[in-house]
Amino acid sequence: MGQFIGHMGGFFILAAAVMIVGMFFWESGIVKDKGSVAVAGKAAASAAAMGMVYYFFMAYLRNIFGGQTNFFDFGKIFTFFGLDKLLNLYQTPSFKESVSGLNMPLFIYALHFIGGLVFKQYAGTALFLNFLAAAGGAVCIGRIALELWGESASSRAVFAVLALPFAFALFTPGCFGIVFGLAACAAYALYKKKTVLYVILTIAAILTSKLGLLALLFLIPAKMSGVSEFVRKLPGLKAVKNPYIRIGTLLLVLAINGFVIMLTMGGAI
Amino acid sequence: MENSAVQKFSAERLKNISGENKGAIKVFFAAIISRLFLFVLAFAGMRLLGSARTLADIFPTAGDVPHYLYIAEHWYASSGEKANLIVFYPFFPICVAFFRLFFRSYIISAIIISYLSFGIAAAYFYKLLKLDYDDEKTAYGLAGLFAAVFGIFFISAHTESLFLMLTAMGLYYIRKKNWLAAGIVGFCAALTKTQGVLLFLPAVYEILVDAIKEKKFYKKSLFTLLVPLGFLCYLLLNYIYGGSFFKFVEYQAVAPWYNTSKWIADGLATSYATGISHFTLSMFIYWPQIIMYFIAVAAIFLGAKNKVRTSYLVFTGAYVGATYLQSWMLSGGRYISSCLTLYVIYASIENKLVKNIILLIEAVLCVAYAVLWMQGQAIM
Repeated sequence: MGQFIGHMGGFFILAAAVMIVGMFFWESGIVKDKGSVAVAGKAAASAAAMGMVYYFFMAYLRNIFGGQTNFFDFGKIFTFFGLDKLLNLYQTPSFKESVSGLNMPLFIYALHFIGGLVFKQYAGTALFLNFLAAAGGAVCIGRIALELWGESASSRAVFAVLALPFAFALFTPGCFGIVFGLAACAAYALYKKKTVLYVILTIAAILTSKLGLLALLFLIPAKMSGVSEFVRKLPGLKAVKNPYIRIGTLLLVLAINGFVIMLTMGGAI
Repeated sequence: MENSAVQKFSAERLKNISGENKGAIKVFFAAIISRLFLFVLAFAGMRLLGSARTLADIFPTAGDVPHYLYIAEHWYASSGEKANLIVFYPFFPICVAFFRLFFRSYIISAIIISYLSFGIAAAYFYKLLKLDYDDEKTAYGLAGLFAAVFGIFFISAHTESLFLMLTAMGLYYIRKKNWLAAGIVGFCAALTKTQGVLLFLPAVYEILVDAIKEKKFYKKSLFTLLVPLGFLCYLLLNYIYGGSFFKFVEYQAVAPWYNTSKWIADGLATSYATGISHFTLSMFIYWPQIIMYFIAVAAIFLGAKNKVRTSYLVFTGAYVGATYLQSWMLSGGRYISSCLTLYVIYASIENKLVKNIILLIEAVLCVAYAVLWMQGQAIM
């Protein structure tokens, strides 16, 4: 209970800090368009909420599969996908291990530095930064979808990405959320024709994890008009009149996700 | 015709200004009366509950008071058992030593400083509230401050009143864009308490927003650098008397404080664990500091909803966050009670019923903790 209270306290003050930074952008006039701010806020809030659901589900399952532990014992909860090794690497980085597997050194060394600054809270800092980056990535995807297909498609696109099987990995203290965030920002930069920014973000994504190479895929010229027409014609859940089908679809998506998380936490994946 | 209009405007403005100052003076006296009233109530309560403590037993011995009085009398020591007093900031003891020239007693000087500072804090807080709110909200804001849960520390020989005054003045001058005054006040605040240096943040926020919006940078705003300079002076004192710029950190980590910088989650978890195993202490120390933390953080979100000036929210967030970065905290409730901007957020609440309920709870707890403090309980 004490751990729960403590971590909630830490989380809420960080959330307040993020809100204040957002207010600064608004008040100083850096961000002006009220509509796009609302869309961005909605995307970030959706990502944070989905992340919290995933996190507590993972912590709950760890209590079933791994014996009793508290909900914030990161070292015990995140033992899949090699995250336990990564958590150790944050504390004592080694270059050899930081380039093994999917790992790349940028985030590991950056986190070693930042985690040291915030009282050696490496796992907690990594988790929070992944949440933040995933929310940032969701905002970028929301923005692209908004500009291509309109507001309702924007919400759908964000939800679709966050509900994908394995999307829960974005909300773990690894570097999946960071890579996702950087890649999504790179995509948005490319969409806005800011090539230099795209290159910088892509390099950062690659130096964070080898998965960052996926950001190069954005260079393949997509037949945007065809894609656009297809996505625009896709019915949103709200458009389905039968509530059973609507809620059922939602449940199905979440159930698949839950199933994947269960397999992962149980050690089958 | 034009001249008469200008004259009329100037006269009206003068009238408003003098009205505001008159209001501030009234608030100053009301604040001092409120402290005297709390003192009488707490002392009477203590006696009625059977304690025979005298004023000489209560005031000079409470908590950190002997340490402040020692520094005022002898200043810092570079060796010996008093060398660890470098953990206390110097501005309050300096003020005590100065007032002692007139009042001939360190403890009386310290208490007079607390009363006067609280009065001035309330007067500036009134002026600050009047910049954004009507009379009723201003009155509620002041009432919230007068009924602060750990308000007893505003009349004891602690730094709280002085810090409150410097915060109120600092925020007021920041709002008025009087950067030199804000810098000087912030300099003193940074030499009063750890949280004093945080006055730099609302100043930077206001400067940045203006600079980006108006695409102009006012050179005078550089005076706000005096605030971190105050903290640097404290570090320099550490170097002079302890041989290390962060000597205070070393002393805080060992007996009698055993306090290190830790992430908020650890401090709160420790408070909870200790609270569970020490029932009586938990009522005085641990539950109040845990509950008040969450109330303070919730207040930041409420303040954003109620459109409280963002620079105040910046200060609140930084103050609450920095205060709780401790491994073993004992005075969280006292520190939160000294966070002035929380009373601005309280004033911004629209629902009067909610406001009155909060005020009632605050006032009851304020008197209760004041009586307990007089009894010598562990209210720190």
